[in-house]
Amino acid sequence: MKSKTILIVLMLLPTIAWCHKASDSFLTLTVEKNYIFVRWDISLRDLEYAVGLDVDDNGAITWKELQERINDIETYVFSRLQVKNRSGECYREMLPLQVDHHTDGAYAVLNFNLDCSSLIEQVDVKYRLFFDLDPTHRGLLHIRNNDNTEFVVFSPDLQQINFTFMKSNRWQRFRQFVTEGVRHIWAGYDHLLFLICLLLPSVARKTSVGWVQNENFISILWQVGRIVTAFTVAHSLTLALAVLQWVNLPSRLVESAIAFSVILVAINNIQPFFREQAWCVAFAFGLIHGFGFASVLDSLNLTAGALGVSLLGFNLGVELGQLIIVSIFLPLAYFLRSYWFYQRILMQAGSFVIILISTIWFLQRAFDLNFYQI
Amino acid sequence: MTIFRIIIIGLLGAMMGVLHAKPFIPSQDDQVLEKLPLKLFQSTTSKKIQSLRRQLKTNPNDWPSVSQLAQYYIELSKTFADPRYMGYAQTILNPWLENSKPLAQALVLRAVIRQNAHDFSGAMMDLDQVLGVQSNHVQANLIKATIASVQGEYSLSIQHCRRLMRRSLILALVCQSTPASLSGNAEISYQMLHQIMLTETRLSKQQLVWAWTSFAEIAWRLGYFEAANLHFQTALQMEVQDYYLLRMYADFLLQQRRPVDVIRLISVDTQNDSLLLRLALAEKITRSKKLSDHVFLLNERFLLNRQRGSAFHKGDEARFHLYLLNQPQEALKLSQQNWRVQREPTDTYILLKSAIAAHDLKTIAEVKRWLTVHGTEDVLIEEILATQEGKNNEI
Repeated sequence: MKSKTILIVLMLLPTIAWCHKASDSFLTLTVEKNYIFVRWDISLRDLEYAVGLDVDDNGAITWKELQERINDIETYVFSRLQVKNRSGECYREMLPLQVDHHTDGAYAVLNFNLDCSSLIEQVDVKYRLFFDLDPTHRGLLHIRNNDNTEFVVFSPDLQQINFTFMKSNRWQRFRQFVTEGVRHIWAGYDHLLFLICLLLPSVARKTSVGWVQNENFISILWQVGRIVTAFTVAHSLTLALAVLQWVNLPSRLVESAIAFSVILVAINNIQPFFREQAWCVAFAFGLIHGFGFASVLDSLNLTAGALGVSLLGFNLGVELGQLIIVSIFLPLAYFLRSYWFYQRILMQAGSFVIILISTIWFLQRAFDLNFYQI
Repeated sequence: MTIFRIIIIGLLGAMMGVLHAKPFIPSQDDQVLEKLPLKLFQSTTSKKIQSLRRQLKTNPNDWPSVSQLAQYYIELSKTFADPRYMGYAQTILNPWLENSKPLAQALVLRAVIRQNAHDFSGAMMDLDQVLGVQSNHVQANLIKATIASVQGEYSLSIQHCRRLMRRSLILALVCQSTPASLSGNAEISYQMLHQIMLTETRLSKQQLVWAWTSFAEIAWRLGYFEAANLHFQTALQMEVQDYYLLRMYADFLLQQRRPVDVIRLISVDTQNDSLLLRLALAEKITRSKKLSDHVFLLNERFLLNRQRGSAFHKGDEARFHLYLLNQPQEALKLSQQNWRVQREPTDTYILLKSAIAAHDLKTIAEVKRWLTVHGTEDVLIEEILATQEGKNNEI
């Protein structure tokens, strides 16, 4: 009778979603030459069900209980995980047991090294932990080799997988980051506007006696060169500092300051307040823009091994993109500089529009406003 | 480029460090690492489960024990909203389902498990196999009616509710109130439930929670907000742990612009994704400092669910994208996928709201047509369609 009541209750809910996080273990393999370094996080609640951890049966698992049961845990889990090099079995060396808190509770962290005695070219992983108890369990595997990370989810339907490692292609990776750099400078309107605003006065500028055109192409080249170099040196510097995590600024501050820098240089084109020092301005704000680039690089999945190559590639990409823009801008500006259009429309009206846009950016970024929502 | 998104991503990144503390070696032997809710709050059930497990080790072929243990697991999965118990149940049932003529009860239990994994067609197959032999099987009819109603097959649902009449008139009436209220008979269903609930003494506590929740939902859709609030409160007073009730009441409070009450209702239970979402939606309205933490947590849980191939609550995920990440297109995609599987009123709300936010007139028209065909009466849908804003309420 009792069982009938329970059953009736079970069916009353229209839909019970899997609301709680399900059972997962997290396995990370880092392959390096002859070794595989492994970190394996297994939920204490799952281990309690499979092996039994709550020795004193009081509903709480202590560190002492976990340590007492570690031999049984190891016997249990290692009979359900097999990591092999192509040339055969690897020797396991256990490192100290640790604990970590995930969003759904405490996990035992098993750390161990596998010594495979020869260079690892192919790894074969077989995983069947808890599948015999709970078919909803999943094993989430990350396997790293140099700059490659592969991700696999083990399930009752997928219990075995093998990875072949090719020599990492640094040149390919470098090219990929150069492309990213170019793409970023072109798609990041704020960087572009800043640079162009700074360059506009190099061919013609407003002075107390009206518009003055620069007739000397060499002098223009020199000015532009100085500004671009100062900007480049500055942002390369902070980009490197930020990516290496030596300096870290809150992104809200960085993004607001970038918007502010655009406002400043655009105002300067309407009512000049710095002239010869343009390269100093380029340098000072270049430092801020560098932090902005770094946040992009962050999202591009950098791995420690390939940091240098990626950073260099990205930076060169940014410079390349910049150079292309300057080489289009310069002849065009030089040709148009004496026309009314350049002075009135581009310099004056254009700068007004830029001030407007960048002020909106600034307000959005600094005060977390969302204009397009209103 | 959406600045909001950049800031959110920046925040998420910043918090990674906080929430993913590094693994450590505890300094004290008696440091408690994990508490086991089952043993702490359900010690009787826990002991029964332990003894049943022991029993099955010595005698694995004892069906009554298997069936009882499976039911305990399913019940626990519901109590703690924890899928692993469904997995345990499935494992012990599997050997009993392998022969050519499985027991009806084994099939019904598997149907419950499949229903919860949102494998509705699998569940229906099991139920049809049972109903083919015993067309008046109470449990099979009740589950089939529930799934049909969730999928928007209201007349099929009512048909199976009616088969319960001979066994329990009240169960049949409560069962059919939801599908009937969604297909043109909201007021009648409400009045009928009103009669039943005033005099009802035969239902168990859990059944009462179910009945009062259905009652509250119908009142809500009819626009009887005060009555709905009272009915939800009555259901809560039964003191039965019921996540569906909490979810619906939280949605009701959000719609009624009572975010503080949502926070009071949920506050500590952040293990449950669905409730966490509703908590975060309330925190967005009250501008709580905890919002960014909770958005981060939700983002991580949804991501993980996708990675492990169990992204079942796409309706919730759509709400997360629409209201907390401000991504209407993504929300629309998810709520459309969700609507292909289930069509409870909340599924329809989020689909409409995403479609409005993403300016997808075709989808709006399609949903409207569907609602008209079924004669669904729902003040919330009228409100959503009237404002065409899609952003006034976070339900």
